[in-house]
Formats: sequence, C-alpha cells, structure tokens
Amino acid sequence: MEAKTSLKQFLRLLYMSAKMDLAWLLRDSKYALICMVVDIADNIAAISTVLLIAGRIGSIGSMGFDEALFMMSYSSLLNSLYIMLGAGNNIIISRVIGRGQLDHMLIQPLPLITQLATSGFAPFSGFGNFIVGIALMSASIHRIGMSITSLWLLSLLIYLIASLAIIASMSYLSAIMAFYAPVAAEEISSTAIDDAWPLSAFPLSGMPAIIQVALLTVFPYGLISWFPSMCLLGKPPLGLSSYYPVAVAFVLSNAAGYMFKKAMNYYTMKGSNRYVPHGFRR
Amino acid sequence: MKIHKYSMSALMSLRSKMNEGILSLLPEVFIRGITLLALINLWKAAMQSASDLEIGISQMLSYTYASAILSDMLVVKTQASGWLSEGVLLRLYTRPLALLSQLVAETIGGWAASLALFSLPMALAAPLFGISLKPASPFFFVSLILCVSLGFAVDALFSCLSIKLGHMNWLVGRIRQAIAALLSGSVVPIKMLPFGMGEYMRFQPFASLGGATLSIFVGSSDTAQTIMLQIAWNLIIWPIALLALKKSQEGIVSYGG
Amino acid sequence: MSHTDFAVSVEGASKIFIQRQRSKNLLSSLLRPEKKEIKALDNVSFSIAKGEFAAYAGPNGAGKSTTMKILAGMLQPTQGSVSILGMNPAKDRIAIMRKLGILLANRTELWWDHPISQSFEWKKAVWDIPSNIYKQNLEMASELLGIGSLLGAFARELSLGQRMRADLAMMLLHSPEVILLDEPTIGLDIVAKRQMIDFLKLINKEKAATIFVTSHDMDDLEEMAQRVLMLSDGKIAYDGSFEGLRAITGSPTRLTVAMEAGFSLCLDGAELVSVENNVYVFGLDAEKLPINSLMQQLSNAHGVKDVEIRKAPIEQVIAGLYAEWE
Repeated sequence: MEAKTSLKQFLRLLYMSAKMDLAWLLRDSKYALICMVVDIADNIAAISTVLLIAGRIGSIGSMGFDEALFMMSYSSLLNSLYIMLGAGNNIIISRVIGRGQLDHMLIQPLPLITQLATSGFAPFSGFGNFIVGIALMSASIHRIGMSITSLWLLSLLIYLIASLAIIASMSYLSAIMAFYAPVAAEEISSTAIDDAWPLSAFPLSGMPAIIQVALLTVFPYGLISWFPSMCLLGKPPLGLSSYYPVAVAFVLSNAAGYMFKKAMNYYTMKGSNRYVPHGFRR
Repeated sequence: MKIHKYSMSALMSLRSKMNEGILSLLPEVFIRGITLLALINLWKAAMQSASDLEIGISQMLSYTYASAILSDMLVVKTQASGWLSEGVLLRLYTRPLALLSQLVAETIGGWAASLALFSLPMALAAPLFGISLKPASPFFFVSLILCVSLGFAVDALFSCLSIKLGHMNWLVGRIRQAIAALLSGSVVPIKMLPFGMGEYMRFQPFASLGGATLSIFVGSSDTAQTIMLQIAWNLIIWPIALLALKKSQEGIVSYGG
Repeated sequence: MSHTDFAVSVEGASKIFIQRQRSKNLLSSLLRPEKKEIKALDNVSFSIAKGEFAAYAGPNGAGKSTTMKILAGMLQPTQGSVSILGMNPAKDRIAIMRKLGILLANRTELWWDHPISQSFEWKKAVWDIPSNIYKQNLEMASELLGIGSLLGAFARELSLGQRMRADLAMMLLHSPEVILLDEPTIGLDIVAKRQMIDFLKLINKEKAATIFVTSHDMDDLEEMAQRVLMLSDGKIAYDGSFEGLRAITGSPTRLTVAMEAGFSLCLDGAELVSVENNVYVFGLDAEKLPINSLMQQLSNAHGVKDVEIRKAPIEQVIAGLYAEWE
C-alpha cells in the first residue's frame, strides 16, 4: 500500500522544487536568461503559423483574426503552465521510463504520484512564458471587447486545468509503451505532446466535420486549446456542452492512472535493462 | 571500400531505429500524418475566403504536403547536439573516418525509416487528397541537394553553439525549432509573410533551407535566383561551420565521455 | 529466528527475464522476434542478521544487481519471498525506503547541476529528516568523508571519487538501518577506496547499520565484511567466511620459496602452483601439512634463499572458483 502524502508535505515538496528552480536561475543568470528568451521565442514560434496565416488572410474559416489571437493566447498560456509544472520530465514521462530512471524515484519514501506531481515545478524559469501568455490574452480580450467577470476567470482556470490534465493523460497513456520498448518509446510522450503541439494549436473552425470530430474524440488535440477557447468566447462548437473538455479530462486522467499503475506492476516484474543518466535531475 | 564504411554506418543508424520493432515507429508516423491532414484543411479553410494571395490554393497544398514528407531533409537535424550533451560525440573521433562524413552517413541512415514509413505512403496517397506532387521545375532536385548541404552546415553551427552554451542541447534544439518555424519558410512560405516582410526575409540564410526548395517545387519563385542564393549561402556557411567545428574540437572531446 | 529478526531475508527467490533475440535479417527480426528465457536468480535463499556486514560476490551476470533491485523493491521476484526489516519491499516500499539506504553501481542520486548542499537539502525535505538528525549526520559525513569543502561544488564538477563520497554521505543523511551497496568502490583510486571502506566499517560498527555490499574487488570485500555469499549462475554457491572459502579450494595457504640458481625444490604434501625466476610458489593446507614437517623439509633442502608463508590471495581463490564454475 502506498502511503498518503499530507498537504503540508506536498506543499513542502513544491516549495523545495521552486527553491531549486530559483537557485538554478540565480546561480547561472546568463544561461537562465537565454533559456527564458528561447522559451518565449519557442512559444511564439509555436503559435506563429496560425497567427501568420490569420494575419495575412484576416480569418481562418469562421474564426476571425482576434478570435484566432485569443485561441493562440490560450495556447501560449497553457504552454507556460506546462513548462512550469513539467520541468523535470515528469510530464514527458516516457523519458524517465525509457532511460531506466524510474529506479531513482522508487528509492524515495514518497508515493510515486506525489513525486510526479511535485518534481517538475519550476515557477521561476517558466515565468517569462506566463507573462507572454497573459499579455497576448489581455491584448486579444481588449481587441474583442469582451467583458471579464470572476466567473469567466474561474472558467478559464478550470479549462486550463482540464487542458493540462488532457496533456498529462495523453503523455502517460502513450508512455506506457516505454515500459515495454524502452529504447524505441523513450521519446513517445514528447512525440505525443511536444511534436503534436502545433496540432493542438490549429483552429478547427471551418475544417471538415470528420476532422473536427476525430480531434475532439479519438485524438483529443482539439480539446487542448481550440474547444476551451471557443467555450471561453461563448461559442461551444458542434453543439457540444461547454463541460465536455472537463468530462474528457476526468475520464482520460482516470484511464491514464489505471493503465500506468498496471504498467508499473509490469515494470516491477520485468525491470529495465537500460539505464542512461542524461537528462536526469539536471 | 570507403563507401561501404559509410553505408554500414548508415545501416547501423537505421537498425538502431528498427531494432525495437516497426510498431515503435508508428506513433511518430501517425502524429505526423494527422498533423499534415489538419494543416492541409487549415490552409483550405483559411484560403477559401482569401483573394490576391501570392500563391494559389493548389500550390499551397502541394507546398505543405511536400514540406511534410521531405521534412527531415528540408531542415537537417543530425544527432550531433544530442551526442554532445550525452558526452558520446567523441566516439566519432575514435573511428578511422571523417567526423562530418560519419554524421552525414548516420543521419541519412536515420532518414530511411521515416522515408519508408511516412514519406513514401503519404506520397502515394497524395492524389487521394487532390494534391499534386509533380515538381514545377527539374531544378527542384538541385535545390534540394543544396538545401540538404546547407542544412548540414547549419546543424554543425548549432552543435558548436551547444558547446559554447555549456552543452545545453535542449536549449539549442528549441532555438532551432523556433528558427525552423519562423525563418525557414518550411511551414508558412516566406513570400506570404505579412507586412511585406517576405521581400527581405528571403535573403536571410535560413530561407535557403526548406522554403527555397519548396518554392521551386511549386513554382512560386524565380528558380535561378533562388538557386543562386542557396549556392551563395552554402559557400558562406560551410567555411564558417568547418572553422567552428575545428575550434570546438577541444570542447567536444573533453566533455563527458 | 523468524524473518522479522533479520535485516534481510530471502526465501526461494527466483527471477526470470525474457530476452528478445535479434537476428541478422531485419524483416524477420521485426515480424517474428525470437525470445530467450534468462534465469537471473534460481531459488536463492539467505538471510542477514541485523548489524551484520555481508558481502555479495559473483562473476559478471551472476545476478547480484538483480538481487539488489529485488531487495529494494524495484523488481519483484518471479517466485519466492523477500523481506527487509520484516517488511515486504513490493508492498511496503515507502516504509522501507525510510530505513534503507541504497547506492547502485555507476548511478548518482545527486542533482547534476546543483551544489551538493542543495541535493542534501532536497533529501532532507523528501525523506522528512528531522533537523537535528540531519545536522548530526551531515557533520559526521563531512568529518569522516571529507566532503565539507565539496558542499558548495556542483555534482557535475566532482571527480568520481569525490562524487562517490558525496553520494555516500547523502545516502546516510536519514540514518538508514540497512544499507545496500552495488559496486561502491568501482573505479575509485586507492585513497578514495580506503576512505570509503573505513567509513563503511565505522558505520557498521558504531551505528550498527546492516550492510550488504557487492563488488568484484574481493580484497575490498574481505576487508569490510565478515561473511561472503557467492553467487554463480543465479544460485548461491557459497555462504560463509572468507577463511572457509579458502578452505574449500583445498590449498588456502601459499608458501613462496626463493632458490639460488641451479637448485630446484620439491615438497611432499604441497602443490606447486608456479615457478618463475627460481621463485617457487606452493599451495598447501596447513591442517594437513603441519608447519614443523614443512620446516623440516625446507631445512633439508639445498639452495633455499628466502621463505614466505601467507594466506592464499582471495582474488586467486575466487578466480579458481569462477573457472571451476564455468
């Protein structure tokens, strides 16, 4: 039986991760600055395709430039949170599994889920991106002329959490392959999330229904940014409920937790015949 | 025979991808396929309401499709930076082969799997999506060779940058990714950049990578001028890359192990 | 004694791995991979008492690291049971990890791009170590392992010896009752090795920590441990003292005799091991060939320049055993 973690201990672990993140930033400020600038450039590059198309043409399907900008700001904000919470390969978990580095976690007197939830917390190094996301969102809201209420802000927070849960679930579900094929699947979470990030940032408005349905169900990349953005703009697509992303996030995260547990049982029987130190506890 | 040594290195690189079974390669192929289909539909949705664009919709779809199936070659990425950060690049110095040639051989070997599993099937399926993959000019192949050559030189420079930045491979990877998305024109044609930026941006070196080759492929640029630019950038970047590699040798061999 | 009285108890543990075989043909390797069963551990049983310092030895691939991972709960045996301080590693991982210290070969628990002190503080938070215990252990480790000056250095900047010392210090910060060490002296120079061995002996003696250590360096093991378990092909081939290990090879004592040029030597009851530059090395069992009989034979011999009697080097004994097992 895995022991429970108290809230106090959970917060202390988050504090420890944040402290180490800050220490890393302050110690090597030149590199830290470069990293932040590159992160921001990378984040902007990820949304540039859509923005350049929308900027040049004026709209994408039924989505106007300002709406596309809003969706990109949501994607950017989400990206910043993803970086802030997943700095230690705790979301891109196939790397930890594929490199045989799970052993380092198994020798800690903490439930695995606590370690995974707290070890990638990097609020300081991911802060630059967060600011970019907030700035883009403020600009788009201003251009659209949308009025912001506390309920809307709460919805934004819930959608961001749901999007993160979908990202983490998809990463963990795909990472299960790394238990069985550690070399081949070492980067599978990165393929499913990082490589597919542009896909999550495509506005699906105006696309054929088959693509929309596929990207909202079997391959739920459309639920990462597009659907929540449309809901926040007050236009839930395809007649679906605005709770849909939250429901999918709930189902997916439970499925991922269950499957990951099963795969962990396999790991403790089979182990990993591979160990590479790189990327571990940088 | 010398060529055999390199082909063997390429084969080893291919084997390292295939050893874990064909199933392990499919997720990446799958994501690339879905992304391509979505991107094509994104262009269709965007361009149906547009007029007065520098490039027609069928050209744009061919551009996007060719960009996806040739992506490995349009913005070359060798294993150099990754091996550097793992401290294993120095093993290339222990073999009786030139460093760069080994990198080229292993990179080409690595392409073979994705060419066979993604590019070839997608190329065959192109007519199903109403997309033509017939090059507008035979000089496309010349341009592709120049693009690959320049890609290797640029990659070497990025590897040296990685050494300079204290082996921050992932950081250099992200810089490269941002550049590929914004400046190479392999996603959004340089010509289509807003505010008339395309007119100036086509002269920067990264535009001579994928964007230049794709624009010749769909016939949206002046072939002779584009190839001349590619040749010029090859002539400028290669000596700099070779010099940088030479200067970085100490950094390569003294790191990790 | 019940298994709860032992620090480590393993009963009938077996571990089987399935290994995929790669053929030369790419296609058949992809479509129809061959599989082979590897028996890493075969019905292994042993126990280690609390406070004991035991060594675990065996040739490469004998199953030492697999045992260590099973003991730490990282792997589960295919068959049999394991207990650490009366707890099951597969079920009570977290409770065990509070009382267990483990260092696996060629791995570090230190944070690579952070100073050592930062890694230690991280450990304090994760293991929930009370401040007074942390301080006390840190002081002890700093003094005995000489890591005081390394606390501000980044892990990536340390030499192997320095890193091992820092890793060892970090492992001990939570006062583990049982310590599992997989090849802790690998790659270390004589000084670093000496420091590590002395430290481990002290921890075992003064803190009564149970230590179970693997190494290929039998001299190191003999110096540290009171008992050695020899593993061969996944089975326990020997469990006892180092002296006993010498005895089973039949010639636990070595007699080295330097002769003058032109003279040769033959001794009844002793086995000639080697002759080089007129130096004769004999193997003998001191119980079967009494020392007075030996001295008498030597005094009757002509041309004897020098004589030396000592225990057979454990490395030679083990090499003989490994060759026998093969």
